[in-house]
Amino acid sequence: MTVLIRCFRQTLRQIFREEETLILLFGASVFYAFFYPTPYLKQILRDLPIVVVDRDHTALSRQLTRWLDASEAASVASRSNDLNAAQDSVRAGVAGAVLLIPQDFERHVLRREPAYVEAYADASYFLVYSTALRAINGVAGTLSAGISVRRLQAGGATSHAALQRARPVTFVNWPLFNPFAGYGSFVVPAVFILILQQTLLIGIGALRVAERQEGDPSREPLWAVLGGKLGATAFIYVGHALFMFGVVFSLYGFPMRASWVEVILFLVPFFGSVTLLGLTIAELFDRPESSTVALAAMGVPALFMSGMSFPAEVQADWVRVLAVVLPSTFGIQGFLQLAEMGARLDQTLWAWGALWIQVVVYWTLAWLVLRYRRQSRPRLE
Amino acid sequence: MNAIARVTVRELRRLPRFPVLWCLLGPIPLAGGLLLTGVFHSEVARRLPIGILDFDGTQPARLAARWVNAARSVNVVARVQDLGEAQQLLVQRKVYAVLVIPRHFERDLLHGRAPQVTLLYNEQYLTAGNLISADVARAVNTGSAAVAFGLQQSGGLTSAAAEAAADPVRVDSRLLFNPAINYARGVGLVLIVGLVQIVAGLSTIYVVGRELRDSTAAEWLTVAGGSTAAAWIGKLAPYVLYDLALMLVLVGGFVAWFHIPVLGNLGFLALGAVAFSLASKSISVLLTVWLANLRKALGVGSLFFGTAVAFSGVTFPRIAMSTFAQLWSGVVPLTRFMLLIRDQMMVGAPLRISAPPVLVLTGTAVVASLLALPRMGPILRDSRFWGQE
Repeated sequence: MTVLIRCFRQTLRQIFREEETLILLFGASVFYAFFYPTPYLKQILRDLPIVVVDRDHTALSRQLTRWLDASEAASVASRSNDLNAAQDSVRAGVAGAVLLIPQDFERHVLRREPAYVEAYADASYFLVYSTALRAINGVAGTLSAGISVRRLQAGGATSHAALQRARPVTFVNWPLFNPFAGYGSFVVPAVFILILQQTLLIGIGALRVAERQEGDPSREPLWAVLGGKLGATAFIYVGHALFMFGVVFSLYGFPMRASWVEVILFLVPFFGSVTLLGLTIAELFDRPESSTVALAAMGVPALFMSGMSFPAEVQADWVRVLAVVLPSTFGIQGFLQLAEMGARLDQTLWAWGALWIQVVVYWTLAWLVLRYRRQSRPRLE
Repeated sequence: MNAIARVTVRELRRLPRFPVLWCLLGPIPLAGGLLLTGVFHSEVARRLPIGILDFDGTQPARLAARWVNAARSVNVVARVQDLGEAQQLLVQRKVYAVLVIPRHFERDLLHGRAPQVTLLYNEQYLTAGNLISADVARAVNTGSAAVAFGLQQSGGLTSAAAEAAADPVRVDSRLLFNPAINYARGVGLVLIVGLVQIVAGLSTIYVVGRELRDSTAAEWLTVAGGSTAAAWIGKLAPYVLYDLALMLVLVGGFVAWFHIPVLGNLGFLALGAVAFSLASKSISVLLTVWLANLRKALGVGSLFFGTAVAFSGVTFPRIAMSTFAQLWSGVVPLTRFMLLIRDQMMVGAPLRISAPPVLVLTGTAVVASLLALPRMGPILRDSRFWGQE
């Protein structure tokens, strides 16, 4: 036990001695945690500019336009008679969509014929088209339902019966875990896990290369060396997790639905797996800064391989197989379950178990690597 | 052989000594590109797992379940018995959504009491959640309209009038520029270009930073015949060409693999690619000469280039960003280059629309170079800038 504590303290001393590892393992996470969420602080797209081409010029078409302007997601940027010019403003990225209200729109409604409006939305930006269509469909649906109800009432039905006959089956969309579809709440928790992984991988890589260059004078048993390193990184990174998911989350208003005990219990094998993986791949690097150069570009693929954005179910099978190697895959999935979806720790057993398996595998690899280094070390004495 | 060519030859001879550099230039972006191609290989998200919780179990309830299963983005994988089980499946992410059909669905429908069908869906996984909810809403509303249509027809209306009566105002929506909602096009492309930008930026920082760290800058200047301009041009020119080649392979390969059409002007895209490379290079040089420390420059560089996708405005529009993020986003070369790619690849916009992004990229390159200029000579000559660990 005293051996382990000695190794733990030695690792901490190592980290604090080198300015670079100190910046990577302490400063970087803190800085990224404040910096990365800044694009997403407003969470949703509001008042997306939409051009209305009103060829009807009736009370009903003006009502539709007014309602669209009043909706939270959209605002009517301009009214125009020229569809081509309106579409040009979408092409130029000035407006997100065009709503075309054709001639005789009101007449069709009054004559009880189907009346169509046309929406042209910019699908080169996903958030733009989905926001525009939701706004336009919402407004048209409300108008439509109102007309149906008034007609049925005119036919003698009570308002209640009229409502029900207009929509024989009502449909309710009930979003869970992120009820306002906030983009920040969607992206930031997963990215924070990725940031923890990347800074730890790069930091431990730099630390290990520096240690190797110094000749690794330690004569402690390997299990204690590994254990001391795991303890030190877990100690620092639990602190980071408390800071990110406690301080930064509440500062920026992101939800945190898990108890701290469960989060820490979940993240301990994650940090362990990342540390041991970092120790293993550090063998590939010849200089401390090499880990930054090699790993900086891999963050984005790792994030998307977790399936937090484009669903894992529809990714290529070989990608899903490779994703098993990365701690972030299970770290992100399990953390989202716990902290965002309100799962209990036992409901994340699959991800948690996978992380423990990674710990065992990477422990073995790191142990083999360290042993090899020790044996091949020239004996000076 | 002139001075610039001599510096370039020296640079190419140095390359084998830096294994991590050629990893960054070759295998890493290729691996990243392949992985992203695999991530988006199905292009659209179809048949995502959902569950159905049918409290009614009657014929019409099963019909409603069939409406939903016909929606393209979902696949009913579980028949759920109660809300507890629904919650369990959702939280364990075995399904992205559960459709709840209430008790007495048939009875209420027949009595005209409008039973309510509820879709509980996982909006933490926003992409899947939004797709499923929009698709299922469409399926249920179409089914519901068909029922209303039947009711109206039985009331003696003609089919056209019944259709209009069931839903008087409809929206005919057209998705411009990416009609199939192809994710490789809408999201994958910016990730690939972002990867190129990381490689373009960090490789520059590395090759310049190594000269300072290894104190080889004097030799670099000697080979350039004492000319600062020749030293810099000779050193960076091969990497600008390499950026272009990498873009051709990675972005071109991605575009070809996913059959993304190029509707605009290819020459203008190429011009933009040059400006994009120069802008990324200039920012990297600016960081490296002022920090004069390889590790610090790499750290700041990976922060700048590594987070560029988030600020690019592709996945989250710039107009919705905070002021700080908008300003930062304006400095990131990726933002402008993606604008150009949207305009000239997906939209086929007139060139005058795409001129501003190219001009801004050129301006970024010029401004960053001017800011770097006062240090670009001294760091080649003054040994105080060398050897910092």
